[in-house]
Amino acid sequence: MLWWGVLVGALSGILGANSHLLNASLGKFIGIFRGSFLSHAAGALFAGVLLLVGLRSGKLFLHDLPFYYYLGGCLGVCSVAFINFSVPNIGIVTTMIVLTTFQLLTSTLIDLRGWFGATPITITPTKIIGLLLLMMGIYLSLEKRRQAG
Amino acid sequence: MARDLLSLFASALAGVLFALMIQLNATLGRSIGLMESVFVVHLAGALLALLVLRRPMNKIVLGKIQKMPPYLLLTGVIGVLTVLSSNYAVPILGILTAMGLNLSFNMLFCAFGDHFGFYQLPVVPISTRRIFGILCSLIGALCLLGG
Repeated sequence: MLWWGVLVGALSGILGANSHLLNASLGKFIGIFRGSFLSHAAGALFAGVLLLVGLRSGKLFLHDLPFYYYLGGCLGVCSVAFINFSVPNIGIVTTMIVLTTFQLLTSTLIDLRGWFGATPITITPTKIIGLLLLMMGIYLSLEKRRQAG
Repeated sequence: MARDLLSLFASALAGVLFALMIQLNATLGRSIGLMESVFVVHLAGALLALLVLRRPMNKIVLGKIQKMPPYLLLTGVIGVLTVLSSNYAVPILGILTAMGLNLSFNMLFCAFGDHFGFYQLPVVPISTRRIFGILCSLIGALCLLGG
């Protein structure tokens, strides 16, 4: 189970990178927000078809689940807007460094406190070293010429 | 100066929102089913983008869509697989470890993408600094996994 999680987690990064690159290219053709709309609408259509052909494992609406769990997709679109505001002022490198740092710090807090349905996890010294290495790696791998993120 | 400070704040907020989004989506997936959650996430995103744009498509945009490489329309399929895999991995690994793996493999693939100019994006040859950065982040992800 754990190794499946690791494999799928790594795959999620590769798929996410493809998604970033495709969206960056799509944004160049029709604009960032239109690209975001097209990619979300196509995704909803594709997932809708998969649900209709029987790839179901649950129920679309649960009454006892707070409404904000249904708004995750909106947060993605808001983040794109914030990135679009930042990049022309402070550049893609600073934007991505600040963004990933806060993304990782928020993730640490979510794991530690068990927020939003997460199972609380203890943050060990090894995890803190891992976090610092990861942040250093992100800082080193971002270069001035990088255009899309 | 004020605009720069505001931009730093916006970048930080985007990072916080990304993390919240990933956790909300993962819990949604665990509650209503994986594919159901992927559908809801994309539908919510499309509806908000529609609200911002008001008129997302017109003749000019449709003309541009016809001219762009057809594989760019695969973005929806890739998006579905990305959210699906993330919603599967986060409840098993915890969001921090899942993010560590996600970001390091994301950087690795982006470096390949830049080096070979995937999807008609500008070619950015890989540098020693970037290779070192990716190795560093992969070791970091292993520490998160082992710790």
